[in-house]
Amino acid sequence: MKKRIGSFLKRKINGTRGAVSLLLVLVLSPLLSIALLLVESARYQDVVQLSEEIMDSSAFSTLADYDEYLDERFGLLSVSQESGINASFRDYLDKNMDLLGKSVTVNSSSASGAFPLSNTDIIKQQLLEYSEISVAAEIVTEGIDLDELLDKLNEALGLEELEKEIDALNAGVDVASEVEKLLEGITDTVTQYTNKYKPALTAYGTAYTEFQTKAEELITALSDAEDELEEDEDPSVVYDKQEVQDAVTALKTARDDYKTAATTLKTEFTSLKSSIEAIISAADSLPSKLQKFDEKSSDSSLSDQCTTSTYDWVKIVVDQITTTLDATVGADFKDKSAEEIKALGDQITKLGQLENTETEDNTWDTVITSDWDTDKIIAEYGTVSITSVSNSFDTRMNSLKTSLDQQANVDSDTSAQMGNFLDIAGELLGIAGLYDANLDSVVNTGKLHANTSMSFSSQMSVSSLTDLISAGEDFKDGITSLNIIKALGAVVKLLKAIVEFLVAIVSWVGETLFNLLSYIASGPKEWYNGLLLYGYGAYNFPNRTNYDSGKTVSGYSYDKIYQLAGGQNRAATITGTLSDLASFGNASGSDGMFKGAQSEYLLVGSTSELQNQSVTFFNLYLFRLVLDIIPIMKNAEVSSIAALAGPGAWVVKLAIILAEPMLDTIILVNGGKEFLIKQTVYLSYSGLVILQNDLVGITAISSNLQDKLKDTIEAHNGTPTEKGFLDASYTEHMLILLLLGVDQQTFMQRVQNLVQTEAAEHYKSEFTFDLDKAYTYIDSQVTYTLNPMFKIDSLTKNGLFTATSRQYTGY
Amino acid sequence: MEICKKERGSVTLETSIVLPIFIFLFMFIYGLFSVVSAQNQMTHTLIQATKSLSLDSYLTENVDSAAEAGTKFWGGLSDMVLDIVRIDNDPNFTSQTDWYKTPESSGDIVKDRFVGYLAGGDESAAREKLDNLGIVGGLDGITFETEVNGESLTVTIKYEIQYWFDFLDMGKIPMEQTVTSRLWM
Repeated sequence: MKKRIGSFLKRKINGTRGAVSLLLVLVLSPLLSIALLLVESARYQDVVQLSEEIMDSSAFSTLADYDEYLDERFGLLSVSQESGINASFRDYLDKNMDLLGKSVTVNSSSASGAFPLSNTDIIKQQLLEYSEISVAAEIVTEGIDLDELLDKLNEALGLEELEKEIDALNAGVDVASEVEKLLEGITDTVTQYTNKYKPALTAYGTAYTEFQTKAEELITALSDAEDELEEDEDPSVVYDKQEVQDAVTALKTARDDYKTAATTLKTEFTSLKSSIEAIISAADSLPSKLQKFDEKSSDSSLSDQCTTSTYDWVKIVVDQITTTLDATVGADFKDKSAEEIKALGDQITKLGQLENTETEDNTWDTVITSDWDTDKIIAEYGTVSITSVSNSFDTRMNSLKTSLDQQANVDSDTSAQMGNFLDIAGELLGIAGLYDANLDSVVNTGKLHANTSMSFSSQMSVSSLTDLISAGEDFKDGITSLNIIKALGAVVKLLKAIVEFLVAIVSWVGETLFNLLSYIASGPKEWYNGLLLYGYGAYNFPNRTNYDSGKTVSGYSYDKIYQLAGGQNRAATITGTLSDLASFGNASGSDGMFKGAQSEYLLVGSTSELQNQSVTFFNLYLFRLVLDIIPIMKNAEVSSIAALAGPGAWVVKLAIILAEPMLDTIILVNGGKEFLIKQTVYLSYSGLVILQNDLVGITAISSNLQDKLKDTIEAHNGTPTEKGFLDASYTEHMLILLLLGVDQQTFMQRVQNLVQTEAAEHYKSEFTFDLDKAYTYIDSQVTYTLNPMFKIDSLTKNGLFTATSRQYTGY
Repeated sequence: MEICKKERGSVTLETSIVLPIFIFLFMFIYGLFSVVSAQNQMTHTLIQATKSLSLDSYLTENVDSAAEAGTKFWGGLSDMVLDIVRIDNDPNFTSQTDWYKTPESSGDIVKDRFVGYLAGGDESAAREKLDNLGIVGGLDGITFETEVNGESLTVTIKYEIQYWFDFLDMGKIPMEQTVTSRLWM
């Protein structure tokens, strides 16, 4: 082997000639090859990287063909549905792949849409990003301090003070109804005394008188008969004498009558005793109930002259009753009357024994003999003296009722004051403003992207408000009826109606404004995100106050929406009263989109624009009512106005509680502003001037009503400054109602519905817009072959390596 | 003895012929790698710059700027906020003008954007980098051409890469690269 190699080398290698070349070829060629391989490898990596970049750029260019309408109108980005995603992507890909020359051969490419706006998470993210600047800036310029807003809402809607006032009122109802029952009991007892007991007592006395007379006649007859007796005659012969027999018969009859009268008297007296004991027992329980009323009123910080005047009035009534009862019925009534009833029973038994002494011959026994005298008759069978019940019981009780009836009368001024306020409240509750008739679309449910159930279908109804006014009217009638029982009944009814109303308010807050607790629990981040999200709804969708002149935060005019929806008539047509609330339904219509009450749709979710406005109006009114209750109750001027009505103070305050939020709501729906948490109440001396200014231009409240307000409340001179926290328009109120009362998932679905309907209407002459095809991402995939650096078809033909890239590129 | 005499210097001669060839090959491969690398970097920068340029129109068209010519002023609150926020924006990555309407005069903007994505906006660093890459004339040696056709933006750069050794003045390789992107309008 060695020799062979040696001989080969000798033949082929001629000494050192070519040794260097050979060395270089043998050693450096592999090195060179490796270097070239590394270069090629690096080039492949570069080509792959650049291919990815070109894919990304092509997808980015495809995304550049975005839906301009969605962007301009809603601030949403999605690929335009007019052009093809795949064709556009491939077009740009083909153009840009030339950058790589012959390094790459594209085998296949495709692109499709992904993550459409119909995905609530996707649209929510876009809305939050859009709102971060737009809505945040709007909130800052409105001067909304977010932390303070949350604290104030929590304080205003926590309603602890209301719940304490409810307890106080319940205690008032309790004591007032007890007094009413007591007085009814006294009336019944007096009737019983007059119609049953007293006649029985009189009959008893008369029956005894007759008995005594007949007994005396018997005694006389017996004496005379004994005088006529012979010496040896049997003394019992006297009973054979006709005169004696007649006397015995008469006495017997008188005795029977006397016994019957005694029995009747015992029965009636026993019954009267029970009635009087019941009255005493009821009267004894009143002081403790009154004290409880007083204590509960003290616990409630809202208690003022209203509750105090009611307490004072009831206390006067109770004091009079207890004083009269103490004077009329003694402290020992129970024992004394029991003794008297027992004595009557004994007498009845004795009279019965008198009967049993009769002999078969119907002759009188020796019970009553000739030696009896009047004193003995009285001693044995005289009437039982009844002193436990005064003879003037009926007179005194009637006098008490007459005196109390005088309490149930207020002077005409006070009555007029109550009447005026009730009229004002009634008129305001009937004021027109429920909806704007221009916004009357009923959307076809087939046009919606998703169906959602209605929100804010309030547990409270309009009748709960009108019932309250009715209770106020009954109270006014009762308190001027000169009938204490009727007055007390009216007080009870009024207080019960107020309690029911307040309970309904508390429960409305808990059921309707349920998001508040979650914001408090979850912290500032959720609160801020909520404001951005719902702020988008409030500031980018028109409502009934700005559909003709407002615009979105990006400057898109709401008037375009109204025109797009086919709105035409622009005459002011704010109409409808609360009584019309029940006349609307949530049915499918024929319209393609809402005309302008879109924020209201986000809140309520009905397909009827009129229903959305109406339910929003009512719930806005309730919201204002909840916010106004405590400022009204605590307002010193309102308290002094109410105090003028004396015991009717509650009626006045109630009327203000109902009327004030209606004024707020009317002003809001007519484009005005109201402080979220008021310090100045319109229906007060200083507030009335401010009200007159705020009502300028609002025709819903007639000049007659305004004059009535001025006459009822004498405004103070001067120009008072309206005070409160956060001067908010209808739009800001919508923001807060959305924030507190609509869950995010439902809200997002309704936003999707609005986007779908508006965009579909906008594009209806061009193509059918579908939110499911409003893609926000491009899913692109390219398969390509990596060609060698020096492509020689006869040698290399196709590249050795094939790569597939897939990318998601989105907005 | 004769053979030795005849062959004296043959290795040296051979080496002097063959070795330069091999060295030349190595240099060629190295130079090739440099050119490929430079071209790739230029391509990458061009793609990113064009992508960024195509976005300029979105902000410019959607925000009514106080700086815009004509009677336009802020169209709304968000316009004002956006306009104020972008005052401090780096001109190497954004523009407040509607240059795409007159692409022929947009050379500086395209150039600035290119510098932005090449060297983070630092022009001196970009020049240095381009010199290291072998671009003839550095930044000044690159010609930027912009064309807007409908909604498509096409940016073309023309330059020469200097081979790392210029043998007989044959080391300048002309390059032309074009990227097309859609304007966000």
